[in-house]
Amino acid sequence: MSRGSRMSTDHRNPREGDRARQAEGRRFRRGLTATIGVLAGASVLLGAASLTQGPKLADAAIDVERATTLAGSRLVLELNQPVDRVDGDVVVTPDESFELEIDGDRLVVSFDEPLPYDEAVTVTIDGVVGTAQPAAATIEYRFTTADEPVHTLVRRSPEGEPDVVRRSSVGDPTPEDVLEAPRLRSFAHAGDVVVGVAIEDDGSNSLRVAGIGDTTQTIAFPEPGTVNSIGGSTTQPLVAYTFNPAAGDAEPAPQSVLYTLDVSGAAAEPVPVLGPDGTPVTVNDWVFVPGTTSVVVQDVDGAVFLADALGLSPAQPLGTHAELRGMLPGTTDLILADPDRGTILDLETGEARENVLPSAELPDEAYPGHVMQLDDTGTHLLEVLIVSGDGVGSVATEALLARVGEAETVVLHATGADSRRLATCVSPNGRLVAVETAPIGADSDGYPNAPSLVGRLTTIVDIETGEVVLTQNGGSSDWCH
Amino acid sequence: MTPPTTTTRRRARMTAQSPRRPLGTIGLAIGLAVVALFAAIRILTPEDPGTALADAVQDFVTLSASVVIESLPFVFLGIVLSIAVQLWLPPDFLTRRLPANGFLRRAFISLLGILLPVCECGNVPLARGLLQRGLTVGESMTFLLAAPILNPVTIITTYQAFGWQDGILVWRIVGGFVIANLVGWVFSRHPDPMSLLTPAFQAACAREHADAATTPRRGARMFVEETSAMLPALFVGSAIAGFIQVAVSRDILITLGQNPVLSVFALMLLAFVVALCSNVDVFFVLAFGSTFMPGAIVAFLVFGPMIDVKMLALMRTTFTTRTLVQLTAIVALASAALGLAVNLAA
Repeated sequence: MSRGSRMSTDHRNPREGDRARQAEGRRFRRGLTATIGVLAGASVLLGAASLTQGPKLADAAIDVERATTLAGSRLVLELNQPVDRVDGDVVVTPDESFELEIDGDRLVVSFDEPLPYDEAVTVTIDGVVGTAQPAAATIEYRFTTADEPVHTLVRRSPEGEPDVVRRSSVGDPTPEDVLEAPRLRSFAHAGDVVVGVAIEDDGSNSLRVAGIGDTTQTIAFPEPGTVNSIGGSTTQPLVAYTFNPAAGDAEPAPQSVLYTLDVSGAAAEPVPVLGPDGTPVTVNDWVFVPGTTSVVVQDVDGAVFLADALGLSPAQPLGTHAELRGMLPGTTDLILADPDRGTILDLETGEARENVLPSAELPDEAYPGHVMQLDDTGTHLLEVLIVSGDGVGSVATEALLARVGEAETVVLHATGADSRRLATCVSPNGRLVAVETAPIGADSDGYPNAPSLVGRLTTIVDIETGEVVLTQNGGSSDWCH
Repeated sequence: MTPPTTTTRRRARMTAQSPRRPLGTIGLAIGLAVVALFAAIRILTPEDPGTALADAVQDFVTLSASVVIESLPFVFLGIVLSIAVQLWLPPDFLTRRLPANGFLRRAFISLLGILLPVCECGNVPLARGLLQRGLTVGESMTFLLAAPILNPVTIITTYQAFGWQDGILVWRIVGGFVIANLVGWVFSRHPDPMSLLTPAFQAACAREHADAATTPRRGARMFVEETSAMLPALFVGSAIAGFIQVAVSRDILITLGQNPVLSVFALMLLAFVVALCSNVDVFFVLAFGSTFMPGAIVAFLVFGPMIDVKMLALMRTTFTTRTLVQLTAIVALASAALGLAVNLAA
């Protein structure tokens, strides 16, 4: 046997062979025992080292897009073992309010408000003790929130050039043109899709959709008319607009009907939003509910109802109110105003609570204007016009923007003596505000039904610090809707 | 060695075969009976089996049969390759081409699985064939343990399941190679390697060297002998695997798996119990990927292809119980150390 010759090559006498074989046997047993011993020892040491290490981060998940658009977004830190308790502090940098929840092997950090755009956020949790080992560990996770596009409409037709919708972002101020048409009235965006309202030669409107495919789509209406209000959802691929048919000889149709446009697919088809009775209604105001496909609509009689933008469920009446003041940023809280009181209605739970705004500390010559509420404590932005006279008949005005809280009123932005403010729009996360201005004495661009001023400028201001984040040509920020 | 006369050879063959033939026949009969039992259960099972069979029995039958069905093709492939190696591979073909240095020789042998991609179920008969073609016991152990992991099918499926995640693929390959060579080295130092083999297999080796029958007849006889040895072991091993899976709650295993130390042993236990082929085990453990730590996954993927209830039953046809205990201890401890180290570093 060839193998036998390799296995047993002993040519010594039998006694020597036996002794050699016994020695080899002892050598094998020693080697075997040593191998098993070393491996067992290594296992014990490694196991002990693991037990003194404490829990470790195995995975982490956060939707950085939703974190900037919705309150209550969750950072889920999955550890390698169930968590028994957290003995130490939790630090979020930059400072944000949050709640920490222990759920098995997961630590869930829920942020109370939408997070800032393009911000590096670090969450550090000290003293995390698992169920497997008594050792405490520090869990740290860092992520960067999504950037937010800043769109402005630049009207250039007075100079003989087509109008453009220009896009930059909070993190990257370099602008790019994303939609071009001879004349644009307004626009809205949902994700990467931009829908512009084009003014045709006869004065009627059509829609131009960019961002679906390589070319810009044109959506013509079945009858001539104008689009008076357009806005995009901050969380869904939906755009909505009100359409007013041109006056004709036929029986008058409902005016200002709200339509939604699903821009997620290749072909966008407008769908009318129906009232509680199942018919189109004449809309006075409307707003998307963040994080949902719902839209809150107020008709011309003041009746407010909640409708599904895709028409999947019947509309639900929410009562009659004097004014629809939008949504608290990133929440399902609807702000309603009536002559005798303000109300915040949670559309998720149906719970209504009184909305009381703190009084602004303003000088005598100040005239308060448009209010934009930021949170449920009543903190809001207030447009203020300061009128001052020199005593000899000359009057000077200055437009200020103030943040009014329970504790203080802070001026965030002043337009200056050489420009006037045209609009103020709060970003979807309630952290920034777009202030649209134009030079004093600027000419009107003469657009039918929607004139504006030549030379508009949009300035993005940080609501917390008052710092200017970005300045971009153009106006008509779609943050206003 | 003096060449035996025809009469002597025939007597030697008869002497050697006499204790095996009844065992082989009984084994084959048991195997056929189990297959017939499964077939009868399947035929007699009504459309709503819950009324006829208790859930546990149903699970036992399903799990056992799935291991058999999954393994059977590879067992037959291994048997065919083994017979081909024994019939047509010249006795010194491998030994002449392998490096003379023991470490290099075993390292080379541990990579043979790349050329013979058979799952571990088929490796046992193949290793038996290689053993009869000149490999030492230690070298055959190296092949037996390394080939299920170091073969292209296993590597590709592992990559498909985990990619480069947590180094699971790399640690599986490195761990399989190192452990197989460690075992080969340990047993290469044994003074009497033949004593590591079962008497029946030693007799088969002796009979193989004394056999002068024609190639087809030898091939047919080898096939009968190998299937007689392998199938009963496979059926028994599969039944044990199915029984333990039914008896041991998976929830208990998962609860244990949350612990960085116990998770390693929990998944090794699971690998031992479920007895999956190395070609598909990665898709099974993928379901536990989010629950268990990477070190536990690595331990499962390294330990399972080397040692499980089915493999022990198959290997028992070749190695003595004492040898298998020593072999299992080394592989288990090495796999555990590897898994714990990966967990510590992860």
